[in-house]
Amino acid sequence: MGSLLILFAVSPISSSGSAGLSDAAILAIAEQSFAEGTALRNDSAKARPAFARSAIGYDELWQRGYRNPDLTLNRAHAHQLAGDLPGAIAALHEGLAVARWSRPLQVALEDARSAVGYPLIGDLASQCRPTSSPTIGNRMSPAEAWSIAALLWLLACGGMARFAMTRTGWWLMFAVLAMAALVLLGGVWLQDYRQRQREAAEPLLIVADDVFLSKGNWNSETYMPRLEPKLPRGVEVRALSHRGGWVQVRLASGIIGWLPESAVVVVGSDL
Amino acid sequence: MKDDPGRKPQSPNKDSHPVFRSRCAWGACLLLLLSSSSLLSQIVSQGEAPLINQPSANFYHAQGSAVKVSWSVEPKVVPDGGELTATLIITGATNPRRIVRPDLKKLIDFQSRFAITDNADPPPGEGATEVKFSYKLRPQNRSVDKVPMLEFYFYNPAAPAGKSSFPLTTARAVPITVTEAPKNEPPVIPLGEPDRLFVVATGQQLLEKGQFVPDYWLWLVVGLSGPLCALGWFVVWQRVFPDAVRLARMRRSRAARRAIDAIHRAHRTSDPPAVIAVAVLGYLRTRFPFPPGAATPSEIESALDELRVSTPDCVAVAEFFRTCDAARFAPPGDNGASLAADAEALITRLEGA
Repeated sequence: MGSLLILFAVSPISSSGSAGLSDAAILAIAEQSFAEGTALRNDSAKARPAFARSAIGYDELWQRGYRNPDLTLNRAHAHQLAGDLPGAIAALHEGLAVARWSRPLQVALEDARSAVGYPLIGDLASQCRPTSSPTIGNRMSPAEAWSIAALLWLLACGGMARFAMTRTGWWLMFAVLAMAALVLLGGVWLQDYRQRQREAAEPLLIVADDVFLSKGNWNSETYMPRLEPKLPRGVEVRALSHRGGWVQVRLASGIIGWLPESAVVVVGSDL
Repeated sequence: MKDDPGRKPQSPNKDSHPVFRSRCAWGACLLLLLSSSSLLSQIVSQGEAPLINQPSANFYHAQGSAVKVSWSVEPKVVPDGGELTATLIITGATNPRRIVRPDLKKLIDFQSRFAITDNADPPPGEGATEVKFSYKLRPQNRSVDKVPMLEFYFYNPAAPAGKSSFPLTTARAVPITVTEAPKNEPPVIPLGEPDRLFVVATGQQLLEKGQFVPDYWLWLVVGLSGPLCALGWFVVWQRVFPDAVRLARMRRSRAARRAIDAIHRAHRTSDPPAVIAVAVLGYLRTRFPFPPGAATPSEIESALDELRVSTPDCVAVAEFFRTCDAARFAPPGDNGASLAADAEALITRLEGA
């Protein structure tokens, strides 16, 4: 274990460097680094590197396919405590991509967003704050939806069978109601599916460093149309296109501009 | 005149000094006489008006025949931005309490190299043989490599004829080293994040791969299981409850369904036997081509018999209507519930016939 810790501390875990480590070993190292950072929490200069090592370990597990809400929360906590707020927000979005219904992840994302230094005044204050449009997928897991749909379908079929037995109108009405509920559930899931398709068409980016949102093209270094003030790190934007090291993005309010590709983190690039 | 340390310096007005009160013609002669006299030494020691040949700079009123000066520097290695203490040590002076502190701020060699602060040195005591003047020197930059030489003129009253009465001695330069300023340790700042961030899940639950997401096969299973379960239930129901099957089939007859519905509602009326009798009679008239006049139990039995309904059924129908009449007109002894059950059983019997 000691040699693993040295490896962890000296070189960041990469796909090549961690190839020889088992999943359990990486988890143990990540947990130990996190505990070390927690013990050093009174000295941020010493604690943050420990949390950064822990975040690297959790990220590696995520890359290896262990995608569950608990690991997502650990990643987000480690990144945020390491001073990497954009990384924490990106981790939470990646977790929500596979478990959108997870209430703890939703709460953690709201908390992380509250730590973003949005400008207090000016147009930008309201332009870059993310807006949420909850759908059924944010409240119900696919397993729960499957269970409810199966129950409604069985009730509808059972109602029809009972109506065939008794020729009583109430059973027919019961079956119709169950079918209506089933259709309603399918409708909201279809809406959720379409929204996910729209979101997938415009990848989510997180601003990694304070940066100006440039507006349009410019021909002179002396004039660069841009939105004042800088976008704070942690702001969520949607990517529209890429060109020459720049990415065209859209803010939550719909404003479109350009950011350097080096100033953003792509969420879920591996998903 | 005696050397009086408490005496105030006299005015530099040469008209008030005895030497300059004399006439000009006698001035040079008198000055030559005074140069070797104790009176002049007293004047020099008191730091008063300049004398002939007195240096205009670097003369600090030291007197003696073998005055020596030197620098004592501590430390000789100082970090950039730090301070060192330079002490000027004057020895061999006969008037140590009259020596004036050299003002290094007025010396370009010092002023260009150091930020200078005079220390508050105690005055030399009675009988002291040396004088010390100390300074705090902070090098301006890392290129400063020495405490410069200090020129120091003093008055030698015993200077032989032909030699200057104001010889020069020097405090030799002292090399120093200015090192890189030590990096300031950043202040210890605790993490300000909320406590909940320091809590993480541990254990093997972190190594679970994803959540249960139903695939197409599971949806297909559910889609097929509903109709299959309903069909199975129906088949089992037919096997287990054959009478119920017959009743259900019977309910497919509109006349029977209407009669049974009326029978079920009869208990809500004021005269259930009459309602039940009318419902059964209506059923019979719809189901069988009854003559319009058949209304009594006997007439109904005869009509059914003519329609080739089995005799037991005819008897049962007649008996039912007699029971109804008894319930309507005889003293209380029966109730609507039993009549309704009988009526439903009678209709079922006729539907199954």
